[in-house]
Amino acid sequence: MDFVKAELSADGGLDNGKVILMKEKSVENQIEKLKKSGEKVIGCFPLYPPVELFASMGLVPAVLWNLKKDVENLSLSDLHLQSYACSIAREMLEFILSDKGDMFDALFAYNACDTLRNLPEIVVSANKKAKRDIPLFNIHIPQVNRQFSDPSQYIENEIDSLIKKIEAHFDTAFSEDTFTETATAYSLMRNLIQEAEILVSKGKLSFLSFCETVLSGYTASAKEQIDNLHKLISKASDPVIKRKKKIIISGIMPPPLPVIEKIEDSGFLIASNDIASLKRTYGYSPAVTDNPGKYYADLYENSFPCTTLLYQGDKRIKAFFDLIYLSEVDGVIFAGEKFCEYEYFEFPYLEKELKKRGIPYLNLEFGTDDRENFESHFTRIEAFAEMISMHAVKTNF
Amino acid sequence: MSEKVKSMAGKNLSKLMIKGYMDLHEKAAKGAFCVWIAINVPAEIFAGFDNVVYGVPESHAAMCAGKGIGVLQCEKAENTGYSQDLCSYARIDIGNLTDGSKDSPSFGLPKPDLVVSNNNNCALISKWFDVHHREMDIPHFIMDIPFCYEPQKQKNQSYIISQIKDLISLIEKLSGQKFNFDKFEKAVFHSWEGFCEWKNFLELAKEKPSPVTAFDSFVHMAPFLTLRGTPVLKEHFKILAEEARQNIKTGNLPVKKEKYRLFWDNIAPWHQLGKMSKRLSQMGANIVGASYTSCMGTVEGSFELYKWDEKDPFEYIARMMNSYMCPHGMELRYSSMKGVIEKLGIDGVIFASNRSCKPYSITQMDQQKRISDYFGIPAVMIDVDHADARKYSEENAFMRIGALLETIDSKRKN
Ligand code: SF4
Ligand code: SF4
Repeated sequence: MDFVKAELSADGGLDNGKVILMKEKSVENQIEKLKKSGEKVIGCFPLYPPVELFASMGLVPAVLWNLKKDVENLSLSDLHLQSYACSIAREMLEFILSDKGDMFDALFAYNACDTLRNLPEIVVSANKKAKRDIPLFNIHIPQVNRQFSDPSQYIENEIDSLIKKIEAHFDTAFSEDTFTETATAYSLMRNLIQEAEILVSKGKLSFLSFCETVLSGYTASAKEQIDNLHKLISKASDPVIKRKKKIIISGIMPPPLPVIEKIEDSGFLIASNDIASLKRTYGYSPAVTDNPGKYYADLYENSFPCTTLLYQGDKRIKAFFDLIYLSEVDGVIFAGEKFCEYEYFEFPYLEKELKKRGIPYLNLEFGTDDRENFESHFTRIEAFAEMISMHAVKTNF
Repeated sequence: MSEKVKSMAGKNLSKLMIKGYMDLHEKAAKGAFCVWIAINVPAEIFAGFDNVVYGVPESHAAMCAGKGIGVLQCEKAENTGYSQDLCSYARIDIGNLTDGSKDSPSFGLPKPDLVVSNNNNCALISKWFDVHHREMDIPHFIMDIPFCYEPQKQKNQSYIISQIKDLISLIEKLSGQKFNFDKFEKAVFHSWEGFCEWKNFLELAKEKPSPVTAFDSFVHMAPFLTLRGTPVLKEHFKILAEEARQNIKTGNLPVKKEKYRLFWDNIAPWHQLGKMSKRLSQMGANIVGASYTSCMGTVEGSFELYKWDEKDPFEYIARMMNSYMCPHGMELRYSSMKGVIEKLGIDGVIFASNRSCKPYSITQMDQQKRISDYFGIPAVMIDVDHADARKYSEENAFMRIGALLETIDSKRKN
């Protein structure tokens, strides 16, 4: 399913009257393109794989969490995975087990959540049956609370063993210089995303085009993504129509593009976000070093807090409210991922605190069935917009 | 279920559990430092302190479900915004706290000074305990136990031991008490002896007909969770095993005309134990074993007792943190199940797909196929929620179980 935004009206509030042809890129096409140009591709289970390391060792990382449009049905996944797993896991499994999965030179997984940690063996065993020889590398990312235990040595050892496995399998050698270069490129990429995010918050870029660019970057080299971001940033211009209602969006994935479009068309300005595939990924860049172990110890400790990084529980709540406070928003939209316990457990607390502070919020939930029919979401977004217009926010920090 | 089993080991169990909860409340009321733990946190370390007690929210939730108040408690949590798709133990526990444990059969658990979770059974329990950490403003210690796709590696064992020692230091700091290694070692020894006796009991399921039914074993697991590190484990499981031996002699068996020997994969359906066992027994079916009960005292890849050399108690408890199903990958679970299915002469397997416990349930679809292919025995998947009776349909479950028994029959005829 390609979402084609052929024309955007000036008063539609999107990109200030500029017409941008929006065609959501398919992950399959992107990987195909990479393969045709001779690249090796490593398919990474979400959420936070060590992408810089893979890239530095000649593997383009493709983080597999934006696959709705690439997966027509879940027939292969349904042979292995119950319907109560989240859509990210089911769609990823479908993609990997389909013919499209042949394009991967390797796969990577870590202990991201209770669902994802159980998938590697399902994949390996199905691939074996299909006589597909794709290695799956695995590491454990420590979840201890940093105030009680120090896991940096453990992380360094894990990264070290990952390097050795890649070296052995691909007959390649890790290079400190290349890692430094790659980490620098990723850092630049994250900075550019943050620059673009500021433009979104000022209404100079649409959140829709921002999401599209950032998400497509999960299946691109850092260099290509840097070019895309420059292009995106160059399109920024002063808004024709000022969107007045400032919000942040929180969740694992941004809402589907038609829903984002509806949010923006309803006059919302997305002042910031707390989304795993966006801010929680690009929100922090470690200091560049030639030592990947130290680099990842820093990254995993200090990344923008996520519900899935267990040790960040306290930091996460603070970061969430700091975001609201600093962005001076009028409301919050939760883009919930159906069946994601990590998000579910924090929601009632956030909800309670939002109520206490008088900040309105809207809870939208997306699952495998939400592919095209967004009418009920649209109605709720409209109602939320009306409610916010009437609501004088009294934040109580 | 055998009346006699109920009258001896069953009575002893009730006595132990009631006393356990009463002691816990009493000691906490008198100022003991109270810790809430996830089930595979090594509770033996608390015995190393003079005055530290512990409560197990999962065990308390299972008890609520068993006593028929699971749904009531779940609904309380749902009314405060917790999703119905969350683990029902978590919902029961959170729901129970919304009104000061007023419906709990044990008056809940005493308020903790510290919560300790770990992520090897599931990572979501850390999110669940974070709820308590925030609501009660108490520290939360997360034990990080690497998931096993292969037997626990030395580096991971050392990593776990270092965290156990970090936890001990934290308790010393928070409680002002000093850790005593000898007392701790003794407690580990008691647990080890308990596991040995437990295995002796489960071994008896080899008998045909079996004096053991999983419905009894499910219930008798409780002391492993709440009375870890105490001598009562050995004593209780000795009574249980001895009673089962007697029952073989007297013919007082759970399913007298045992036609079908079944195996259960997943957590016990706490709200259905009585009903399900009765109905199965009428059909001549006995669930003689379960992965949930077989894994106690064992480690990755085998349900045989993990033998401790009685040397380093830290090493042993670090290994025992993996003494459950969920911390292991599909290959290891398969290997464990293969062994026990062979040993117990199983005719068919019931995979209970439990939407409330993804870590136990994901991989079951592959597992079902593998077991059937390997042994040529039928296996069914039924939908169960371990503690939320709203998510279980007796009719659907028994339709499938009925089909399973028919397949076993037709296989026998052929
Ligand atoms: S959305 Fe949640 S449950 Fe799904 S893969 Fe991500 S962390 Fe796991
Ligand atoms: S999800 Fe499963 S393993 Fe985790 S607490 Fe619930 S029942 Fe236990």
